[in-house]
Amino acid sequence: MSTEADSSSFKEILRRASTGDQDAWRQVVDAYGSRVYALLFSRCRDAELAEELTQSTFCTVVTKLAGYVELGKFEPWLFRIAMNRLRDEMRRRGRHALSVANDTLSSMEITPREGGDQPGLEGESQQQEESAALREAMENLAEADQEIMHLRHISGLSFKQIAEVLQQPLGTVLARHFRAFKRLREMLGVEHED
Amino acid sequence: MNHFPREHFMNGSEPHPEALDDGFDAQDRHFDELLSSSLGDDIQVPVGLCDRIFSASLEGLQAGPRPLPFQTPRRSFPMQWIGLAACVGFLMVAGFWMLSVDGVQRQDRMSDLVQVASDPAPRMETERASAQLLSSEAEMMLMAMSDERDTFGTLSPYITTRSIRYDDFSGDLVAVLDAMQNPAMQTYDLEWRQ
Repeated sequence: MSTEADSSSFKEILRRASTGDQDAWRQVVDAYGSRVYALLFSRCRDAELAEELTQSTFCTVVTKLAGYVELGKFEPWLFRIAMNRLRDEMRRRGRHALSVANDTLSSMEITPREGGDQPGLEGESQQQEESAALREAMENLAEADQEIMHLRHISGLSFKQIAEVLQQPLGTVLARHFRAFKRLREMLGVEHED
Repeated sequence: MNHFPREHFMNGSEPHPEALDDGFDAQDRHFDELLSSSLGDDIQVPVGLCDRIFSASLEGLQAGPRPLPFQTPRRSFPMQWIGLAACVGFLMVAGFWMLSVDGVQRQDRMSDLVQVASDPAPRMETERASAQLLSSEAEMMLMAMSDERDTFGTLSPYITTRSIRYDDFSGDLVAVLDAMQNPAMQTYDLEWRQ
């Protein structure tokens, strides 16, 4: 389901699910269950909580599906519900969601390139140092910037959809992403080649 | 930063992030791809997650689509006007009724005031009755509470012989008591009043 034709057919699936079709609803759950879970887990770093909130999100969606199918903004609506569920839970628990845990970026390999298109690897120790630097850089980003990065890279939402999820103007989201992206590269010491 | 979001990745179970626009160079794009490939690498979706989500949301699905509020079928235009006219008529009748009731109550209140002001006899009877209610023992007690022992001594013969009453001095017991407790006012003033 990655083409426009599939997108239109998915709208038909949503329409059928809104009428109580279990097969159609199963397809919706299969398509988005993992994505919602991944987003929530990346934000809270708690597997049980992420699954609980994922189920809560879909239980809410299934009862209100009929009113939102026609709007054609299912994905932003779904992820906004998920994000709101997470915020409510974190507020209830009295602590903030962990934006990026140390484990998240442990496998990342960021190496400043020196003229080539392929990243260079200079040994395992250097990878660990760079991973630690990236973790620190991500944690130093503002909460809103981290949300944008997660919605983009984990949920796979477009900037337009991210703007709808966060209920912010598209220009604001683009500017925040641009600034966060550049700051991330600066903090990691990845310089542009001239 | 011009941005033209591409929608081809919408509604996908395996989405990939929207490509960066012309504001980013090749290194930025590579770094962006690295983020996308690395951020979710450590997220392990629990086995059977979608099954549990489906089971949890099945009850809501079987309950059927719930009608959204304010989506009842609209009435015809003439019926809306008739309803509006009925509401306005009801409000006007209610307003007239409240005004008429208020006017009657106001007239009754004014007549009561006139009746009280034109008939002083009940007030005198009330004063006389209150004077009779005050026993001699109470009068003695009130006198004993006075700081002016001399005044009490002067007035005590009158009280003990019951030749006069306090209201005989001025017609007002309170005035007598005030005079007794007022050092500037002597007993002869009371006698003079008599």
